Amino acid sequence: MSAYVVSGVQIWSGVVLQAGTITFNSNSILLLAPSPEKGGGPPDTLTIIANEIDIQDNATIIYTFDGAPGPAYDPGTPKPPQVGTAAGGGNGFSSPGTGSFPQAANGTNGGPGMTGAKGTSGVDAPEIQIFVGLVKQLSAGKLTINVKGQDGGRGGDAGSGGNGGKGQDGSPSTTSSSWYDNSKCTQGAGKGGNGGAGGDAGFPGRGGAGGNGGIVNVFTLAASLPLVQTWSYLVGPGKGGKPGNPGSPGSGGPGGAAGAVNDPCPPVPGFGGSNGPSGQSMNTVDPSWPTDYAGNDGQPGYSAQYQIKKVPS
Amino acid sequence: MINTPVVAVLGNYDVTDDIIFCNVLQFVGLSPQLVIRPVPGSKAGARRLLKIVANVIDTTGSTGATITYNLDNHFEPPTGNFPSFADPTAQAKTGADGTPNASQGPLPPADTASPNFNAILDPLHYTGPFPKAEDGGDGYPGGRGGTGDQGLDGPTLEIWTTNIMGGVSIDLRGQQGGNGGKGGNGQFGGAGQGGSPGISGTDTSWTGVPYIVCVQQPGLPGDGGHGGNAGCGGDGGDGGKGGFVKIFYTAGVNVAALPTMLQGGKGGNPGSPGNPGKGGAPGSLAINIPVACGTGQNALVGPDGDACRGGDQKGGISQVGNPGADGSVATFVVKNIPQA
Repeated sequence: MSAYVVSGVQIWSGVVLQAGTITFNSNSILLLAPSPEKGGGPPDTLTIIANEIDIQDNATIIYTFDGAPGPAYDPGTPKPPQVGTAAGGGNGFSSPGTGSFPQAANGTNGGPGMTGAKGTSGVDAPEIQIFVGLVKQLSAGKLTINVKGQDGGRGGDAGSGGNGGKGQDGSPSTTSSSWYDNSKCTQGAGKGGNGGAGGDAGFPGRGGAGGNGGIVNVFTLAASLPLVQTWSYLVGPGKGGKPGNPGSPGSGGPGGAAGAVNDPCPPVPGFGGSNGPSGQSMNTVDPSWPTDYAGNDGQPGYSAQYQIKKVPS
Repeated sequence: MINTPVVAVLGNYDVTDDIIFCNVLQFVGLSPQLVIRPVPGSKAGARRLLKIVANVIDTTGSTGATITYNLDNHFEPPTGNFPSFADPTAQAKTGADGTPNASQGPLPPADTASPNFNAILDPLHYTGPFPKAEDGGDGYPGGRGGTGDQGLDGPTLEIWTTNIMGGVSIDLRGQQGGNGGKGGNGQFGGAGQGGSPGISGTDTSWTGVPYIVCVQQPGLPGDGGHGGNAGCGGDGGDGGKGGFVKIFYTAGVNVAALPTMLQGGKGGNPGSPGNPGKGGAPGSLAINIPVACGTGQNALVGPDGDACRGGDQKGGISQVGNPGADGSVATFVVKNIPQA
């Protein structure tokens, strides 16, 4: 029968791994990963068929589907965060000069910040079926099968709201005079325009969903069942990614000044335009946004070990 | 694990276990359907696997035998796939309708923003201060519809067999994504306040003749409030991935008797947008007695809300869900199959 030796980090890209004996050398890793030659990714399923599995010392079966370089295997490495910040909202418009009577033009509102990019979802872990007749290992718990779902990536940062436009200044009062009369006020000073509202803060990018945990079933003969039950099966779900940062709310535009008062027109206290309100912050819109905008956790997988009478070949 | 000599599939046969060991897997009658259901205690969306180890798969006593799945617990009549509500032929749940969703009348009456000045309902505040009366309130925007649920992924099916008599189709197509929820309607803008009346007084010329003067111009009425923007429909949910089928068989078995349908599910359609709210009416023109103060000025009708549009966090253009990736099938010749 053929033999297959796992030494160091051994990449496997197939759907079925069949051998007479599979030997895991000390501290070896069987890594389910895309084949550099074939490109793309392996199917997220593997069936191992062996008459015997020989574990020299600690060994691991794990996966990396996202092609990240180095020993950053998917179960322990979240998806990369979104980088960059979404665009901010535009500032409001301000009319120049003085406005018309009785009220000058209001500044326009600032635009809302753009929503941050959604985080990348974690990869679903593979399912692994193992048929083995005989298991040899020096002591209990020497094989770890890590098919925990990958954690989701952090969401992107949002843009900030634009500032509100300044209100236009009020129109000056007007007077008239005649040879037969004193100066008269023909039109009082106008009211200044109100400042525009600041744009709302952009919503944070939602965190990426966590990947689902995998499934591991091991089928073996009666003598080896107690041994495979000592292996470590990590089938938990990936956690959802954190949200990005929300944007800052835009400032309200200042109110326009009251129109100039010329004698004998009466003073116009309080005729200055009101300052525009600031945009809404994320804490105002949704105080629990750090939770609400986090990615959903994946669903857990499961593992089981079964006794069979005959192993396939 | 199911371990029994014969598994007979008649009508809809639900399987909540993940392993079947049997000597004969027998399909019987008209359109029998082996339906992969959720493992008890598992949550929606969790991975699902069914392993069938059967020396013989026999469908000679049936027509239209199928293996499929129903992981979202759609109602399934016990009569086989006439009709079938299995996941490949059903659609994931539609997204929630957007909230808020303003009534736009006539019954119930339209939701209108506050303040909304009305001479009959509130005559004391119907006329505003000088120089400009209060504008009507801006309507709130309709909420965006929820995203349709993601279509379920087809499960993984692993079959070990030494003999296939007849044939059974395997339908593990990804489920179609749910449609997006409907966007909410925008609220109507409030009516503006009436302009303050002009105020007259008297003065005397140097000759001592009294005459009427304008002490205060008529005020500008309040503008109508903006109508609330329409809520956009929710995005369609992504289609589920097609399932994966592994067939382990001994030499001589006709694997072609197990045709597969493993296409990815279509993306769900976007939800329909809500209607924008109408702008509020302008406040009434100021009363101008005497005419010495000149003509009062009109206020503006509030603009209607925007229809669903793209580009900002208020909704954006609703998207069709992405299609799911196709599944695949792999076959392997073995000398013998496992025995429980």
